[in-house]
Amino acid sequence: MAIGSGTLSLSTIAGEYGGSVPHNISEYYRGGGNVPVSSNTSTIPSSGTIDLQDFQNTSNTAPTDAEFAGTVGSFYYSQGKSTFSNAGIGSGLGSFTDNSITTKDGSSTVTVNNMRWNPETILSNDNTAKVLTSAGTNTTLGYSTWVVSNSASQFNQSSSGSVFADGNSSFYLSGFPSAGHVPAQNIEVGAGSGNFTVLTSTHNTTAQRADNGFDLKITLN
Amino acid sequence: MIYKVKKTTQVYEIKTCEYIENDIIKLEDLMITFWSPQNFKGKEKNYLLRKNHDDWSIMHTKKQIKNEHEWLDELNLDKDKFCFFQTTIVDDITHYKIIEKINPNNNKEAQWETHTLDKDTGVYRL
Repeated sequence: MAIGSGTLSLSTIAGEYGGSVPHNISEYYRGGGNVPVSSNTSTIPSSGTIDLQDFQNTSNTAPTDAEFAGTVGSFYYSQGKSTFSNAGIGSGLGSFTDNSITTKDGSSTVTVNNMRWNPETILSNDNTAKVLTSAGTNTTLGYSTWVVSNSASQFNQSSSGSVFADGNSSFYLSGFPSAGHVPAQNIEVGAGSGNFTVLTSTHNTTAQRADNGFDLKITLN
Repeated sequence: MIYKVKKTTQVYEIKTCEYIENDIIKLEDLMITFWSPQNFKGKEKNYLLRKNHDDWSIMHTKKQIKNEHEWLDELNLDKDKFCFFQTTIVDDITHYKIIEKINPNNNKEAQWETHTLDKDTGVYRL
């Protein structure tokens, strides 16, 4: 969905890009807190003079394929008297429903064949977690953050770090605080080639029991 | 201490957001979400977004994390050393603990065990 080409209001812009009140058009410079840098926002200035009409035909959604998605596998769930407990993979890995992503500039597409985010790697001494392994392409994606979301609220988490490619065509998250496995709300995505699963997460014992089959989406920003 | 934040969403402006979907121009309400600290001295935060926006969930989650960082600042806590940790959601009230981030060189199993046995007081160490 995109903003149209008619006369625009600040409300329309806030509706597309988000924002807080009292709001001001200066919140909406490209690359600022609300407007992502993509070819779908190329008419929006990053500084200087900015006008409502700069937002005609723009969209908060990146034009490239910045998402990959799949289905979460099954979990075991143990709970005691505490208000939350840890759950992890039991059996039956999920699978990708969409495992391709495209560089932000649209120059190439990368196939994700592996997701790896587990306590061991996250807790490595350099706080760098190997997250994704691509197939055969040594490409810098150009994204700086990622968001993990899910149709189930317990996985509706996000985290930020640096997403980049190294010489082995692997993508890493770095820049995590020393909290390691708690960059956001404890979602951790593990790996199997072509599959992924949530290794551990925190669940409310009364209402947010882990289950099979939830859709999981990772969006690079 | 359990830090409580009330989250509410309501219509901010009716049918004020124009957008294009499948080549059709549509109008939708502009919604506003408030995060209101209930029992600590953090400022109320708000966020505007069009109703039924494709990225509603992700964009609100990012805002919520930003809020948590701002509240840590407002509580004079270093966000590199502490973080809000969501424990439960009861109706529209989110319950948090503030935890001290772990040393990555520590044993993670022991940290989790300590965390599970928290007694709901003070700042927690994982």
